[in-house]
Amino acid sequence: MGKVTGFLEFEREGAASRAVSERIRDWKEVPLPVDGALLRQQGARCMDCGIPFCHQGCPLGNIIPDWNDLVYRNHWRDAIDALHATNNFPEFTGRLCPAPCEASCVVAIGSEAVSIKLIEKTIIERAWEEGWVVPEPPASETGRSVAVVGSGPAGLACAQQLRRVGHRVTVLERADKVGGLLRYGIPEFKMEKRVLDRRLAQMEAEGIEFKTGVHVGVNLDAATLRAKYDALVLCGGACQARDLPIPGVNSRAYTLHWSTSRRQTGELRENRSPKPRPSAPRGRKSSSLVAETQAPTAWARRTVSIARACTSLRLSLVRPTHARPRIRGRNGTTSFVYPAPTKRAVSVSIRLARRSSSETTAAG
Amino acid sequence: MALRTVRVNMEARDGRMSFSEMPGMERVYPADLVLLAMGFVGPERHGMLSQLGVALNPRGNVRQDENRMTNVAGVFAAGDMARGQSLVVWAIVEGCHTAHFIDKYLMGESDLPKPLEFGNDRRPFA
Repeated sequence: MGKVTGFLEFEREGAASRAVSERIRDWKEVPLPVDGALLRQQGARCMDCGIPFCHQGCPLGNIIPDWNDLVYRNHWRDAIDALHATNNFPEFTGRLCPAPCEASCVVAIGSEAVSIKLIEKTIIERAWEEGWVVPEPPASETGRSVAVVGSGPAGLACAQQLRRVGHRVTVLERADKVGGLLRYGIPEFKMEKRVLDRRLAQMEAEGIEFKTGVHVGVNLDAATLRAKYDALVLCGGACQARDLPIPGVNSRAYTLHWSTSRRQTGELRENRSPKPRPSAPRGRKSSSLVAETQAPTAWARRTVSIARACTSLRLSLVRPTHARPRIRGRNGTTSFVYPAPTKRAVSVSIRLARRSSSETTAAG
Repeated sequence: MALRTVRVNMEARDGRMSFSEMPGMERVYPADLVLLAMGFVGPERHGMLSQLGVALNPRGNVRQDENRMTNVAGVFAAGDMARGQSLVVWAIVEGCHTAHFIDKYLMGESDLPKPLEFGNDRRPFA
């Protein structure tokens, strides 16, 4: 808990966003850092509720009221220890988690939830700044070896836990860089890659070995790998993309969002400006684009940047939604079109067709 | 190039969604590029999983016993590969939880936490 009457005195406040005019010119994270005084007020809002459901709302079982209280009392060092006790990577969840803890917050019954996710992120950022996050190598070696296949959040968490009790841990990654979805799925504006890299540096200093370009089952036989290590843990993710069996889907005009995002991330790393239109026909001044998506979050991650280069952008959803996104392009012509929400469940299925010449004229 | 769409009615039948096309509701969207962001259905089955002989559960994810081990001795699974596409926080918790059982498998006992036994495995975002 924080201050006894805190939830009566203070309103929920979040981080301010960088100005749109500024952030459309770069790929950096959108929220601005928050000032310590504001955060202490937010920590003070954590009430002395009888059953802190946030504990259970959080899959990790983060002991949230404890570090809310420590932030309120300005004990930042203790706060990061309490946070790290249950969460290996608070800087990832503090940015990326949809915060089921806040959905379970007792204050939210009569008011707005405590800004748990913001507090989490600020605690860990402060800890990195202060140099409190240091490698924690094991005191002794067990002599056992484990291979972790896949370097996404599951693989990294598993590797760090096993290394800290003294096992020899090797993480195998098929891509050219470690991180899995943290690197190739999460766009820069949600989590800058430096956040991932500094954590990987800590893990490397703890003695975890990372091997990239190793695709188990393709360039390394799985049975050979199994024989080499005492245990194997498969953290390869769910990478089988949903199939869309329609004519023309193999043409160049269709691209998986996933592959676009991977390519963009690579270009950003090399300090090149990502090409907004990955495989659209060249030599045209304008381009229109259709995003076929399952969930609003999927397009939100990526299409914003692509949309800037398009004259029109349409979004097609296969399930009904209440969200009404709108995006305006650089020249004011980009629009977002949804199937109109109705009381009945309405959705859209798609078929590909060659555009006839008359349609070209009509569209032009 | 264009994308042709048709509006459909979505109905739940026996717990499964079915779609029926609405006549006359076709539309054509001219497009130079179509992005497919339709999610993922599960782990890739060819290659590693088939070489190891790892069994899958009815949902198409890697099957685990109560010790997070697959049907192959000494081979464990964690994250989306075992759970299906989910949240980063579930990936982290699965990684930690599985680490306990790997440690136990290697050493006979483990002091590592088992966060999934905090009673957090039946949460709304599971």
